[in-house]
Amino acid sequence: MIGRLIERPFRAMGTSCSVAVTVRAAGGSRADQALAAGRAEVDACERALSRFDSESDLSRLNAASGSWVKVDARLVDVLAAALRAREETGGRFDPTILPALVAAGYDRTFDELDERPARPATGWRAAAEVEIDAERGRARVEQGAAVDLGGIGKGWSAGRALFAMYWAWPGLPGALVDLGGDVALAGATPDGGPWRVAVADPRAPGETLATLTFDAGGVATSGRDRRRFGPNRSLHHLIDPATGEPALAGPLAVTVVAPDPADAEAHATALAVSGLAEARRHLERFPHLGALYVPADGEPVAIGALPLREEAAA
Amino acid sequence: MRRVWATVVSVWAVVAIVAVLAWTKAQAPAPLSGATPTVLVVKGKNGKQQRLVVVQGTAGAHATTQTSPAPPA
Repeated sequence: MIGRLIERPFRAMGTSCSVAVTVRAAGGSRADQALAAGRAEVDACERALSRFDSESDLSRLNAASGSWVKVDARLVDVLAAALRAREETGGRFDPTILPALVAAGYDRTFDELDERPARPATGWRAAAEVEIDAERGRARVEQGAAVDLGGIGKGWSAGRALFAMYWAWPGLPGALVDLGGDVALAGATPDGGPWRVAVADPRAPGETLATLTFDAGGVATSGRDRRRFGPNRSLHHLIDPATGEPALAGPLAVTVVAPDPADAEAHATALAVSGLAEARRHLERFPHLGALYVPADGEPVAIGALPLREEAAA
Repeated sequence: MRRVWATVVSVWAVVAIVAVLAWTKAQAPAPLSGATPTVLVVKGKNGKQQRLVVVQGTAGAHATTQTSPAPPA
């Protein structure tokens, strides 16, 4: 036992969040400083990246499609990460699915959604052009296109908040940021062992499917088990970029572990609209990623950077 | 003769105590190791656990990953 965990829960980004720090028994005076820095960074990320805030940098960028817009450096950075993820996933993750997402009915915060049926995303096409000018701090989206960062924003923000906590307290023993299930963590735990992250069972609300333990990095889960809306809650928010409609193929939920929390969320989003065989092929190309894939019908499968586990299961 | 029996019983008592102590020691859990990499245990649909690697311990998790839930009212 090297200390205790001080946790600060709060609400942001349309979900339940928390920041936490490991504090040694003899210390702790700078914990508040680090926690406040983490919380402030999450708020700053939301102000820049939310599509539900008409004054956010992202909303301004989308509203001025076709033109260069000066935006917060956070948006420039996350757009770069999103474009890289689009390339890595062969378009299975696409930050320009917003028009299709809105057509599907997810056009306001989840709390405000009603039972309106989906309508076709006419005129929409995947992989719209997004340009970044990091030197001048500006970006441009193709005329008529729009960006949604729902498949990467929380993971990216969790990593950013973790960094802000260490910046506020360079001697911070350990820290964890949890943004609605997208988790970033580093350093020491209170008991000196690895960090433990439970994976919620998408088939049994309130139950735990698995426990992941690791020293640092990010973990994110994407699935169709929650955030359902429309007539009889028949629609979900995972748009298949190949069709522009809520994905038919894919797991009930998938959890991805990665060194970078943004990668964890983006690749989880891509795998959430991919069949099991496609998910296996994808993760063969990225040996630093591991995934727990829970099919809608069948047993959970560990894939990617988890070969020892499958051997142990045999 | 009584002394011989007393000695035999004492020896057996000591052997029994040592055996019980050894057995108890063998049941003690191994100490946790912070150096062990990621550990995963999956629970099947029937509720039976599918052991993919050996779990280090059963202590509570520091966080839970899930599809983002709506915030509590």
